Amino acid sequence: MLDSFINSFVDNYDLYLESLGETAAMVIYSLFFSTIIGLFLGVCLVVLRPGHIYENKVLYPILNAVINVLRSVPFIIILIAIIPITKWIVHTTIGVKGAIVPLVFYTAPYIARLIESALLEVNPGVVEAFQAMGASRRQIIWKVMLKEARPGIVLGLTIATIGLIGATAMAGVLGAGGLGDVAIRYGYQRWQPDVMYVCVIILILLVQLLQTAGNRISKKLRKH
Amino acid sequence: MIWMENVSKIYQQGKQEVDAVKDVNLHIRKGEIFGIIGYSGAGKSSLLRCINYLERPTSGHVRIQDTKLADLSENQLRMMRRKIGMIFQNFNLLMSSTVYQNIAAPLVLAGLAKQQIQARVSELLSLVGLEDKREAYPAQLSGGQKQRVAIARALANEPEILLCDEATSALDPQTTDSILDLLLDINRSYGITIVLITHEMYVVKKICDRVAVMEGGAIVEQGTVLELFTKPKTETTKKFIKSVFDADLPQELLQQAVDKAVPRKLLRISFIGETVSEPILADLTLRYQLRPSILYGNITKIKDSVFGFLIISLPGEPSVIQEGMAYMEQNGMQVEVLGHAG
Repeated sequence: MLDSFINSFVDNYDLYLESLGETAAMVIYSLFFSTIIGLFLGVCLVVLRPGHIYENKVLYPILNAVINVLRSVPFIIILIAIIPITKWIVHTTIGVKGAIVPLVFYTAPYIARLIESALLEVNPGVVEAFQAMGASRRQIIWKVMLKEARPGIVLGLTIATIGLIGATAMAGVLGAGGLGDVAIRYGYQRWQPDVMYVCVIILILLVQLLQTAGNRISKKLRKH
Repeated sequence: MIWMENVSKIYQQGKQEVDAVKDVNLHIRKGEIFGIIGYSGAGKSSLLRCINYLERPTSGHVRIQDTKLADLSENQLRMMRRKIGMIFQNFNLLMSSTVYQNIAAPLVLAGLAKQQIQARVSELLSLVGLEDKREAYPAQLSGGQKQRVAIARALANEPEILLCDEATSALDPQTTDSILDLLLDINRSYGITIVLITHEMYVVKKICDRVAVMEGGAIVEQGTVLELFTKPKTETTKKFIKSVFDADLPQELLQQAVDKAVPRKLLRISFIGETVSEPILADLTLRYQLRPSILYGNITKIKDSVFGFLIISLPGEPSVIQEGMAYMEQNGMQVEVLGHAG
């Protein structure tokens, strides 16, 4: 058993390395864009709500509903449903490039919710204290809310990254490549279960590594 | 310094309107410590927040010096708030920042140069006695130390007014005392006007010059602390005073004293300030041959003054007792008849 894994790993070393690279590329690019969009939307979800610093009784319910709608669509459907948008943005629907757009559509609203819940953990009294000392609303967002929520944001982003790795496997359907794709193509379609197991083990290690790192960073940032 | 004119604050709670503050008129003088006392839900928190416009009054005006807060733009209001420090029951410090960073925060917001900030924070740290906690995080501090950091932060921009929102309510009695001493010290050394809200009469008695009693959103009584202690008008005020200073003889003792056969009067004599030290009972005996017996008494310090009372039973001829009472009143005491016998 163990021998066959090791043999498979050695024999297909290049394949694994390449697919790991593809997974990493998809995750890193999608995470980058999703985080920027998700942070913005997450902050909006908090500051636009009633009684908050940019209270807006029209925008808040709309944004809230839009994010819920996006969050309700399973990734495999987003993948196909937004093909025209993907084509328009990156001029292709296959490969790593073609996968990034649907991955961002899937992950950004998720990150928005994770950021929202991290920001809601911040003591509203501190926001009030900074209003009382004459901080501007922008200063309150950057210097109070985002700063205080850092431990929660890191944990949220860790969760989102791991979810993203899972989603990249599905993106394999569009020929995006990556570890998930290899696992399905070799393990399922070519009856080479050992290749599938190696892929799964690499994924497990990756997730463990990310979660541990996320926990450590969050703990380091949390001073209480 | 601070004028509030017909200030009301109404909250919309669903379909209901809640009157948090009802038609409040206040004038807080420069350099004084002004207390606002009330039970929870009395509206004192909302009233305090009307002073720096964290809550905008639904109607009425707030003026600070010559500035009407309602006339200020958002930016002008922010500049004004820099001159009004505020501290809170739960301290409200940045948990992810060190003591130094917390105290420096208002200075950073105001855009001061790094060197100026360092100098000012060091000064503030020594003012509140936390020089050795500069690099500590709030979670590593006790409640009293956290409030000291909050006070230092509130004083960073050299404000003229300090608002205290139940600043000692989360602290134990000993720590409460040390924080109150610090506030008193700040008031005296820098002449900062302090407005504090509390539900503890002890706080008022210890540091306030004047006090307003709030109930149901309205101010039901206000005056100097001494006035309130000596002549409370409302039941609420009486209850608050009773919480720190019991001035009533237990009912059964009063009854026993009145049931005596020999004619007598039961009196409550109140002393304020220096009259406390006068040998008034001895004078009653020497001048009028009256022989008072003391049933009950209490004495307390009110900021810099002293207030005390005695309940005495005074047997004797009614006319002589009358003369004795007049004598005591001439000497600055308040005399109140609680009952007679015989």
